[in-house]
Amino acid sequence: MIFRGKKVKKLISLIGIVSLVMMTSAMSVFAAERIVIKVPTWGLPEGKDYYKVADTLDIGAARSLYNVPLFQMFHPNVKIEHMTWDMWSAEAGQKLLAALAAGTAPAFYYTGHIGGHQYAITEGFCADITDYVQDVKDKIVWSVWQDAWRGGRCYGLPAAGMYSRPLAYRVDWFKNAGIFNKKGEPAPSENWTWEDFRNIAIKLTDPRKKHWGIGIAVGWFWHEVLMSYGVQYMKPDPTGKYTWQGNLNCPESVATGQFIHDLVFKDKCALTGTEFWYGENLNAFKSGKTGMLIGINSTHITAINRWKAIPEIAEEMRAGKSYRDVVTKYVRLMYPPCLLNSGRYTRNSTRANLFAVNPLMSKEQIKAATDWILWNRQGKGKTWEFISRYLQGLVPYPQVILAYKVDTAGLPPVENYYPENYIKWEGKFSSIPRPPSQSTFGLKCSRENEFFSVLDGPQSAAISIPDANMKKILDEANKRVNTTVFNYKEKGITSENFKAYYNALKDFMEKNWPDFYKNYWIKIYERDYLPAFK
Amino acid sequence: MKKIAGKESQKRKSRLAKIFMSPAILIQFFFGWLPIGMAFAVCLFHYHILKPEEYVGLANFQDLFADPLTFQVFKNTFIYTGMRLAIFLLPVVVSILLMEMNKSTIRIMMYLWFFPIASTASIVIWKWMYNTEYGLLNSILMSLGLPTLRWLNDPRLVIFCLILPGILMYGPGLIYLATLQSIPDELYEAAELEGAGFWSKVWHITLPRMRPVLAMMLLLSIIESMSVFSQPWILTHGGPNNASMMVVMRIVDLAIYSMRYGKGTALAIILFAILMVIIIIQRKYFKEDIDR
Repeated sequence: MIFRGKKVKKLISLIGIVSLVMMTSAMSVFAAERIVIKVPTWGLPEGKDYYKVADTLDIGAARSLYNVPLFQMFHPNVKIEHMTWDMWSAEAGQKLLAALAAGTAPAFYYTGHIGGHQYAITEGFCADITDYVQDVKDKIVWSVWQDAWRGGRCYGLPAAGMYSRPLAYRVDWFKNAGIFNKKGEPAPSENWTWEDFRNIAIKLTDPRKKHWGIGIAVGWFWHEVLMSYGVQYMKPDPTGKYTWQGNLNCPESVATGQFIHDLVFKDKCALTGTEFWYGENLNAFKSGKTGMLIGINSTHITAINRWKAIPEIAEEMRAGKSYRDVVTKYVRLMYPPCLLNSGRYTRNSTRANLFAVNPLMSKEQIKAATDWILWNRQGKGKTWEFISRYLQGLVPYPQVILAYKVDTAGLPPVENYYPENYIKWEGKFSSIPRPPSQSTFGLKCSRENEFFSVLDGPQSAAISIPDANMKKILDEANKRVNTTVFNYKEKGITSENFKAYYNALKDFMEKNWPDFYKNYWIKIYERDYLPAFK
Repeated sequence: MKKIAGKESQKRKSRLAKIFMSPAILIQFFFGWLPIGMAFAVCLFHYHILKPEEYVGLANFQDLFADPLTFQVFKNTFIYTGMRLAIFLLPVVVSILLMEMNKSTIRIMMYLWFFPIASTASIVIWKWMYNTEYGLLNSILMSLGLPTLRWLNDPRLVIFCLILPGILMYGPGLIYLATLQSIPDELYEAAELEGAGFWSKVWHITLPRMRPVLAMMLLLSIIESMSVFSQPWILTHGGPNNASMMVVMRIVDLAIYSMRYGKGTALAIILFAILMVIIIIQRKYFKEDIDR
């Protein structure tokens, strides 16, 4: 138990909360006409039930409930109304688009399900909040916030913490297969390559036991391999007739397809198939069919809940071992796959979900909604959330690496809750340098989603057709992209935008990955990008 | 006087009929005709939700005709529809044979036919049955010493794999059984007195009596096959390399996931036109009236 005498402290904190509410109520009587915003809530009880739960000394519910009057006390002209909202499900995007069209969307929302933040900015789904974030500019981690900016204007805020998406692996399988790093730990070496990865996957594969080295979900593996070559999916049109051209048939892309194809059909170390999607991949890992997994969020709490479902691990844990000794561990993927492609991330760096504020609201409402997001992510609301979690005996910081600088004075340090190596590992991830965002240089691609749907074909071919000719398939896909998707000119983008962005990227690569830059990347720069602004 | 009263009563009846019909007509208008009419307008625009739409004329259609995938999705859909129609009569034959059995067998068969209609869940089960590494079908082949197949991962086999759950899960057999039960026994008895055999009865009594239902089911089967979505979407997502991508999947992909509302709607209009032609031909040449 983290805190002793919990009940007494619960009571004291509730008395405090009730006093605050009474003060707020009294103040609200004198308040002038108030700005109403409908803020989305998810995973909370609805209507009267909300109050009932809060009245049962459930500090979590009480915090959520009394957070509103607390906010209103500091913002007396604002009235917060809760709106139950599906923020994260697979259907959330369609619901949000329908609500936007009908004018009933909440005050802010997650943009990941509506084509990503870049698309959302282009389509006008994000209000300009530049004027309201000036005071917190130095309190938000720029590397994950930069994608919310375009042409010097701000169109969003990070949702909460930052995540990294590394590779998870089975420690016990590594031990059994005799795969150890230089320190003698069952792990891949620090600077492993894709060839090392292939060899490990082969070693972990045992057809008799129905064990595979890696599971490949359609579309979830391509990005990691491709971007570690340092290329991007699309490139500026060198003729200037259109804005973008596909880069699907460049040598690196063909090599990516061939590498994946070989893992499946030559090395036979990958469990995959056209019916094998993200959920199947995760389940294959959890049910002990695969030894490595790419494409998961890495939070420590998620790991505890997910990996203890693996039967062998559950058995060892029942025998008294800590899950940390037996369960999967994480490792970063190959450098330098840290490039951004028009707002899409590779997994080898930290990322944050982004919120947009509803542009259909009035200026005052937009400001109030921005204040509310900041209150709950960085301000007093967040501090209060940490304290209430602490009082409940929960880990106060669900994400170790926060996208905001939050005042946590008075709370025990993060080291009290997480294993030291986990904090170090997360720290390492967040320190991976992040390249400049295309968006901040005014670049955009309003048909990016259609472009990525073209990629589904070659991706599924690589994992399911034994005699697939990847060069031919990618040539055809690229031709399709150029004739039917990228056959238009994006308004407001000139060769100057390209010049500024790609030169900034060049400086970044030279500074952070000098060897890679010298031996490899500069050739890609000269081949793919320079012709557009020479 | 009586005549005037009669006319007024008829007028009142007509007015009343219009009032009662109006909700249905309004619903049909707002949720049926209006969206179809709007689709014809939307396909001429780059449509945005919050920004003003841009008129592009026939550019969406030009993009579609320039895209080889458009022809491939129609080819896939026609192959799927053709295969479905090739087995269209299978449930009819099974139903006719069933009618020769005793009533309890018929009842059990009706239950069995009805069970798999919880289609989405059944499709998910098929996903695992087709799995190349640990699926049921390959396990059976292995236990029989036969070579395993790549099922959904084989571009040549994938459409057939989509047909199979369709046959088992779709329940037209129930409709055929109900139709067969409605044919008066006297007709068969009279034919037997005349010395007609089993196939003669089927040819001269059963099939003509079933013609209106068969005509309707054929039409529905064509429409359903041409607009197939859930089976390929759940089983393959259109893979491998678009070998099982159907027209409606492509419409959803364009209009919902790629957010090209105009282009997606243009493809829907093309499908609509093709279906209309098929329906007109079917209505013209496949007479439903038993006595014609």
